[in-house]
Amino acid sequence: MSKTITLLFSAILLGLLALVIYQMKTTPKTGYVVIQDLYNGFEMKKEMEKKYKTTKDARDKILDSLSFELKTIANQIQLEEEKNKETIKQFEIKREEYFLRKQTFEEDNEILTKQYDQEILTQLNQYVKDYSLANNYSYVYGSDGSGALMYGDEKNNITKEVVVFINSKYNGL
Amino acid sequence: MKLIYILFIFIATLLAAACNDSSNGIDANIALNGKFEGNINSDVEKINPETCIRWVQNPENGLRKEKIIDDLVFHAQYKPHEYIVCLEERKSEIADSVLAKKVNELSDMQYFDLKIVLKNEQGELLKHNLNSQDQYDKRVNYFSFNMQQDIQLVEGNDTIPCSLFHFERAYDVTPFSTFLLGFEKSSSSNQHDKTLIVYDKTFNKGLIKFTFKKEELQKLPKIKTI
Repeated sequence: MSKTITLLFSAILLGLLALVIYQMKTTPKTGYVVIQDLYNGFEMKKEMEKKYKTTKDARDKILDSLSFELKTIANQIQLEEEKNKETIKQFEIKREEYFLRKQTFEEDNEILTKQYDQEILTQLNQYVKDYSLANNYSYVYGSDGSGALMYGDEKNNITKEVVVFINSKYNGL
Repeated sequence: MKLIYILFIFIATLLAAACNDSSNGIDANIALNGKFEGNINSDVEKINPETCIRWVQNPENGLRKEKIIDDLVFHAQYKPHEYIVCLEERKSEIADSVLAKKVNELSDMQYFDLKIVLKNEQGELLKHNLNSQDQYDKRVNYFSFNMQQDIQLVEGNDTIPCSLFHFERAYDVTPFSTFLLGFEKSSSSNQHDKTLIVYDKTFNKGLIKFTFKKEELQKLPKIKTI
């Protein structure tokens, strides 16, 4: 009798163990990241922001210099009692150049922003994918406040770990 | 009764082992390889030129890095001077005087290879996502002459521009392009990690970085000479 109970007990225990292991293997591992924190924590984003600022500042300096020249000529015209046609012509040429440059720079800045954003997102997506594969995640959700992810248990928030991972990957370590 | 317990423990151990994820398998492989590399370093003090080439090209030794970004794979190979001599000599044995002379000739610079490969290894890299013939010509021109300006090496606080650049142009259809790079060497070059930075404008992947650790750069085994 005692033998039968022990045997039965062992079989149930073994079955339960197998069930737990099966569940662990088949339940997809999921986590979520707070997209804004992930994006802001990505070193490439910070570096590209600096790069963009350098370019924009250089362009702004050119515009400032053109604007200064334009103001100088305008003051000169105002001070002249008899308006010099040559100075007025020079002013108009400069003004046209200023507005043309301004427009070109604004368009170029916009193109550059889009280009940098695309470059950042391409690498960010790749590294999140690498993280998921390396850590056996079936799904990594993105929480961006848009309602795509309405709630996530904080224990499944893997933003910090992912930020460390993507920065390590980005730096080629 | 004992038999049941032994059976139970055996099955439980078996299931627990099966439960380990695949990354442990990879770790085990690395551990095995690490032991192998350890033997090269410690047990055998000097290696022959062929082994040196294999050793440098083995990514596990840290002198060759790979980065997959979207549809492209970027490879960076640090080339120690001894490795370059081994490649050039193509001999199983090198005379001590030849090795010393050639290493001395190379000693002012530090060299890297950069390779960009299409991930699916099909088609031609230069024609990847191409919109027009004009764009193709611009790419060839950029790869040949202007890309050099978008490559830097960072050592500590120093940023070194790429002073030697050669685009190995393959005129047949190849899914890759190779670039030979050279940077000036300073007296403190060996004291820092090296980060190779490439700004990829052609395929819009942005800043690509490869960091070579100081410790990894210093562990090249000595070459056996005659």
